Amino acid sequence: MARGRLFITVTTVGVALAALALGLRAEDAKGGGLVGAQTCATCHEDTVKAFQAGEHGTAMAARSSDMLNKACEGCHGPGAAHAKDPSKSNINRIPKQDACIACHPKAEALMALNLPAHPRNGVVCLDCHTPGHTQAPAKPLLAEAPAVLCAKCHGDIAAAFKLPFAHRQGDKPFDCTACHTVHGENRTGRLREWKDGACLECHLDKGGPFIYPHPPRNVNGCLQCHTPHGSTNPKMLTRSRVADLCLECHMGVPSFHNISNPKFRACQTCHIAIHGSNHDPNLKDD
Amino acid sequence: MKRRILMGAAVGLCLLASASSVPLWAQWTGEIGAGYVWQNSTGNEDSFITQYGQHKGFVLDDFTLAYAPKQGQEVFSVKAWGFGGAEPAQHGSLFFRPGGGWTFNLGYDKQTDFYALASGDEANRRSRWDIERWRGSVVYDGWSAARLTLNLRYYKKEGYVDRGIFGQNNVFPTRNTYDQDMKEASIKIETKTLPVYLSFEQAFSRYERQDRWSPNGSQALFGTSNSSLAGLSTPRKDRTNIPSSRFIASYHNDWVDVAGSLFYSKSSMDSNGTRLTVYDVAPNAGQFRWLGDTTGAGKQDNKAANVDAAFHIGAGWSVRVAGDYRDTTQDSNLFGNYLLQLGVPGRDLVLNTPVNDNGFFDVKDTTSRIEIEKQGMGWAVFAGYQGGSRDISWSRETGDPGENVKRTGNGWYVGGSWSRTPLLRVNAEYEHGTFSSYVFRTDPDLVERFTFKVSSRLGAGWTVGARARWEWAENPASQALAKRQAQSFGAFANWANSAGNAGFGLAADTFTYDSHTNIFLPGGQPDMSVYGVDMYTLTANTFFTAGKVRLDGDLTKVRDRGQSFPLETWGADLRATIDGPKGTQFVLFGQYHSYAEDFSSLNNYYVRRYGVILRWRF
Repeated sequence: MARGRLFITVTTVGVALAALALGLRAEDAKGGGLVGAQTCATCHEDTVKAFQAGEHGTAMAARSSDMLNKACEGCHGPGAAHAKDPSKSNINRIPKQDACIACHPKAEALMALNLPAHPRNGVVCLDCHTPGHTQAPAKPLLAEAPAVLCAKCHGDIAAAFKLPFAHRQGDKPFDCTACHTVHGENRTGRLREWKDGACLECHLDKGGPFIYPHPPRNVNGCLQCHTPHGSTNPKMLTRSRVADLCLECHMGVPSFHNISNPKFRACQTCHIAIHGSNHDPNLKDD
Repeated sequence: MKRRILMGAAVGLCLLASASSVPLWAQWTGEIGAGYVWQNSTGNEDSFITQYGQHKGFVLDDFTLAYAPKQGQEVFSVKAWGFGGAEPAQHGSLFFRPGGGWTFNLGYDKQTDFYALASGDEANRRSRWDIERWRGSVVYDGWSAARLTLNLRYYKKEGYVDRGIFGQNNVFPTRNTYDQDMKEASIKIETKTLPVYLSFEQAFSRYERQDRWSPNGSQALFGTSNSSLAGLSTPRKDRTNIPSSRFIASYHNDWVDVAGSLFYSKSSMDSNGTRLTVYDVAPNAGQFRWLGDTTGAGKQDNKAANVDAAFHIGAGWSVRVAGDYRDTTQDSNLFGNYLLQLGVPGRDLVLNTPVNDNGFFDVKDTTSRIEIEKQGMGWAVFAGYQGGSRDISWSRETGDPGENVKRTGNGWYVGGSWSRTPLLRVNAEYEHGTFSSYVFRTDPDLVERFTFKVSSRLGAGWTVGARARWEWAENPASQALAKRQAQSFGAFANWANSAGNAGFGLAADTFTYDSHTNIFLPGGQPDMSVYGVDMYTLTANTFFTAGKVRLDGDLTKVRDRGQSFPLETWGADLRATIDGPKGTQFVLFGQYHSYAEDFSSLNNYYVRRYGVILRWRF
């Protein structure tokens, strides 16, 4: 098995480097038959004007006037044939995914790599983003607020946020993008930061390193004991009784911990530094 | 202080905008919406605030002020919401793009956390803390080949938690006053025009914690005690410095996607100071004085690397390979003295226990994956194999035998999807995984998961869908005989008219979770930990516009009939938005929340909130 893993790792690195080297020499082929936005505007005047005045158009204009002039055909394909013989059949009415990636070649382009479930299930850029012909309800050119967009497919997660104990911002929806990077950015777990970084954005004191760490937190992170989106349990724990959560791992607890006595029923009453301590190996002092 | 900084920055940026060549007062847009919320409750309002964090009071629902020249990009904007006291979260941001490739961003948000329940395992705990987060960035995008970004972050967490501490074989009430902050500066340079995207980021972070413990009463929390807490002080400080570096490279063309990253950080933590706890033993018998005078340090190195590549071979075939490596090593030590003074000062017995602990905690994980996929016209099938290894060793203190576990794991998965037309989108996936050795006795050594989703845009404004998820995990009797089964099902139906001004949605979700784990009670008696959830969530929402009035309604019911913590909650929100003259809007809303546990009524609440918001768009 170790050899198998080594083989996959070596193959991965080798092929990736080869692809990088080949890619450096790749040429970006340009199509012909462009007519420019002025020609498009002869028939689609309102659409072109709205696009050029909108968020997408003004961003292109800031780059170069040439980019703005080619904007229509950048997404819908060369328009010479369509201008000569206006027909639905000789123009890309719905832009292909590549049209977006031509100008957004970084993390956004890597969604197929980092989030393969999205493209393989038919999720494309325009499922979440608007092209810019109309004013987008949210930035960056989003068709709706992030939480609403994600909930369309991730209904079980949206339901978890309805539970009594959940991450909330009052009447404002909790943004999925507060923790998740939608396009991946090549980090495991699709979280914004490395490992538990998303949690440490608020829970500063839980990061460590601690002199006496609590091993499950160091090995498996916060999700060993907590559910991140919502729970029926206080503190969003994975168990309703703290003692159950602790005793599932801890054997050999001394007998004076009589859990029929309220004093011993909640372990963290005494073991206060459950995430790790700098002073006490039994986590009874932080 | 922070608000003064925010105001100063806002004024400064406004002056900067005024001094620039941008023609002001030409394209200003914005809106302001503010109002008042009334809240009344029966039952335990603290329980409601624990869950929702809301109060009565003023609220800034939304504030936006933006400037963009005609046919130009936004140059300046200020946004804010949440301020006023009724909401637990506040947000403010400033954006300024003066030209020449420069962009300035300043962000502020504040979140308040409150916890006070009258029953349950932490009924003696009460806490309230705020975290304020400041983020600033300066971006220079004036070069054709690269972009430079300077990021600054400052987080401050303050508040208190009232809870017990252990001492004299009992638990005494204390208050821990939080004083924690984080400062970070980072600089990032990324390429713009090279065929390969490259990004390098160097950051330096500092975390500091100076929490202060103090007595919050002298009598023991549980039963009687011969002692009483007479004093507690913790003049000590923890400081962690973390320099970190991250490098990312990625490339994309028609037949290959490839990305790799390297990450390195080196945490260095120092902990200094003392802790003094004093108990009065009995009248005239003197005191127990516990003094911990220690100095500690911890050093942690994190190294991580990964590479992902996808090859589009042709004819719809793709191969993806991935490798991931993470290596964390930590060394720590604590030395000093624990002193116990018994009796009356001047006639006391002093016991000195020196401490010199050394520990380490090393975790090394590797994973690799290979996956093949065939995509056709709106369909895809895929299968993959993944392997991994975990090498863990730790010893938390001198003499602790600790753990040393090396294990390998592997798994495979298959799936397929159909999304040829919006009329029908289906996907299904099955995963199977196992591993060779245990780190924790509850680790499931066999995991199987099946997920299924179907959705359809039926036309005429209708969208319907359903999903299902089954998950099994277990391990053998030689470990903990853990058995966990989870099932989740959901269905939804939405309708909206073609104009988009009326619609409704219905959704139902169920979740059942059944967990059995063999445990040993204190003293060694075998027992079983049983945890069961049997829950459904029903939601309904509607909106419609009639003339100048738009109505939005939302209703949610959650019912858990499981054996562990059965409860029922209701939530409703009805909102009327009325367009007024000259860009004004009046918003009237009412909300209802209820929460009822089956086993105890101490945390139950019924809360009604009513509010009015006046909005002006300009």
